[in-house]
Amino acid sequence: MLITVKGITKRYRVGVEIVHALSGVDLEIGENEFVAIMGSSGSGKSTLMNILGCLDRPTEGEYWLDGRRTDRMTPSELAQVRNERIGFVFQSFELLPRATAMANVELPSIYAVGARRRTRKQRARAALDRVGLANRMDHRPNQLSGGQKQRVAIARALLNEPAILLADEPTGNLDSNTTDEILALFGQLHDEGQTVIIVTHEDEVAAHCQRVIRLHDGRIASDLPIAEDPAGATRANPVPDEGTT
Amino acid sequence: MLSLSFYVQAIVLALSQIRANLGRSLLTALGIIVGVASVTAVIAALAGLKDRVLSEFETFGANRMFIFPDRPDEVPRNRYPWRDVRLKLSEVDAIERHCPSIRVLTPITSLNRSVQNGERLLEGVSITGIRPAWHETENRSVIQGRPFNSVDEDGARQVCLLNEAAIEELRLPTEPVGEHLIIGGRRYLIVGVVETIQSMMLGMNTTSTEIMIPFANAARLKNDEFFFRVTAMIRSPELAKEAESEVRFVLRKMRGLGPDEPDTFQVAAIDQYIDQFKALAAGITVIAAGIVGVSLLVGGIGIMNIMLVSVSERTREIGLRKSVGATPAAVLMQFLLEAVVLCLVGGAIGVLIGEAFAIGLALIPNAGLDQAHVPLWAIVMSFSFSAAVGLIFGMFPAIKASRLDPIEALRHE
Repeated sequence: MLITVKGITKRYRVGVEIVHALSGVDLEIGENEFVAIMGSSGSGKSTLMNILGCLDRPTEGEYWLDGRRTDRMTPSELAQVRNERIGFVFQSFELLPRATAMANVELPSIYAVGARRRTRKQRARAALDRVGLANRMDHRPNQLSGGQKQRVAIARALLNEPAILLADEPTGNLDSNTTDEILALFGQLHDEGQTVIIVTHEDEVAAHCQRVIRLHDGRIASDLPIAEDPAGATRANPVPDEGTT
Repeated sequence: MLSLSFYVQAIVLALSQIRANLGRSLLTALGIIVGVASVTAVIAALAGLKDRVLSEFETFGANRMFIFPDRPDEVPRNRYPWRDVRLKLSEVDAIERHCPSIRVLTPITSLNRSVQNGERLLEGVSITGIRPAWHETENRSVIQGRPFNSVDEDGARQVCLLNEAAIEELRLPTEPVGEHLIIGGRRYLIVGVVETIQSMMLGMNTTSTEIMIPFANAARLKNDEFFFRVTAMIRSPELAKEAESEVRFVLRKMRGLGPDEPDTFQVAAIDQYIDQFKALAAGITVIAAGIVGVSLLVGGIGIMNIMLVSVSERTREIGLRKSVGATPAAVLMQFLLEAVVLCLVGGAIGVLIGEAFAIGLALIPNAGLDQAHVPLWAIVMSFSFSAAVGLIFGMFPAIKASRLDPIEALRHE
């Protein structure tokens, strides 16, 4: 199994109060799955995403990523796991404003161990090509549209060929046409073999995935294939995939 | 371990940060710029002064030693009246005989007399009584006529030497050898003209009127108890210490000074003056370093402040970098390098301004600083200090950045 989560809990102290963000989550995600993690705000979906993305460690429980147990790693070890095994895509893109698309995509490689300049350029070019921006390599973020910015961010996430592509509300800042475009891109990457996890609160977004995990009060409320999840209902509509290619 | 490309990227990024916030960066680096510029200018001026003084010592001979009477400071001064401490000719003879490290010496005395050439009369001209060895100790030869010889001295002959300024002042013909001067009412034959050498330091301005007569003759003009000093030439500069002890031994013995009694004379080799000057220059350097230290401290606080602002402004960027795999050490190093680069840019500007000051100082006429220059070690030192300031004052903001929680940082507005 690519991802194995066993009995994860996460507690925060907020002032004098202790908040139980996650209370006993068990989860398995296999290779080349296309998963949506859903839930209202406060459901614990962001916390789960942070733990899956190795940005945070659980208070209790085990997290195995690609055969390695990560829940007790040091911050430096976690940074290396993030660098090599995880590609993040954020709602607000998080591109460096003064760097070109190329330089933005290259960013993870400067933190990689022993990355050669040659292959770094080649890989960045290949990643931009994969998201369809081969002709925008020297543009800066302010010269790109919202959809293009998110494509650059996806290329950056793909640079080190991560085990999982983890997207947090990737279409939250995009209009509906661009949303479809980006979701189609995720679909395409999934078809190419990439494991994709999207955190969202929108059924329309979840409808593009194959499996929907719903969180409620820090527990998994449901974990169903898209066909059986309520979000699947929107799939019947002619909105998704076909419109854009 | 951080890769080489990380360091390259971090430096490029630091430079682009400085360029993007040019005004802010320069204002921040102002403390460093001022500090480095002032230290560079002061060091340049000192270096110029030092070169000049040393080259003058060189010109006037590094082998010279001075012997002169002195009243000790420590005891009641009236215990050693000037009359008693003055040098005696018997002492000079003893030094000449018993000090093997001294090659030659001459007693030198000064007296003021009127000097007359026909109608031209000058009152109160300083006349110097010298022995023939003076030509060697002062490194001055004759350009016309002949130098003094032992016959002049032994016979206390009424002959004189003079310099070009004296020829002009006394309205003598340009080739005055063979002419006569009336000095203090006596007739002196001019036997030679000595060359003029110039030094702004050391009080050796020989461009004014000079008339020399044999020491024995000068002694006759004065009464028996007159003052004089001795200039000696050491066989080689390395023998300065030996020569000094020899002279002290001879003089103390002749004066019957007990072991507890201080010297009633001074023996000074010229290298002592060089040492004194070097000590003075070192003192000034230390004071300048102190001033610079303060301005670097102020500059460093400015750097720390701006780096804290930078960390705060770029919190999201830090969060992103961490999320794509930047370790705490990498983030620390990035901000540290940024502070160091900022300080080095300030240091470079400071060195350039200091260099400009040095060129300006060298152009000031008669300031004696025409050899002012910035030595290489000062440039190296300036850059090292700038880098050190960057490291020290950049450390706190860099640690702050490295400890940011990536989740919090990414949520930062």
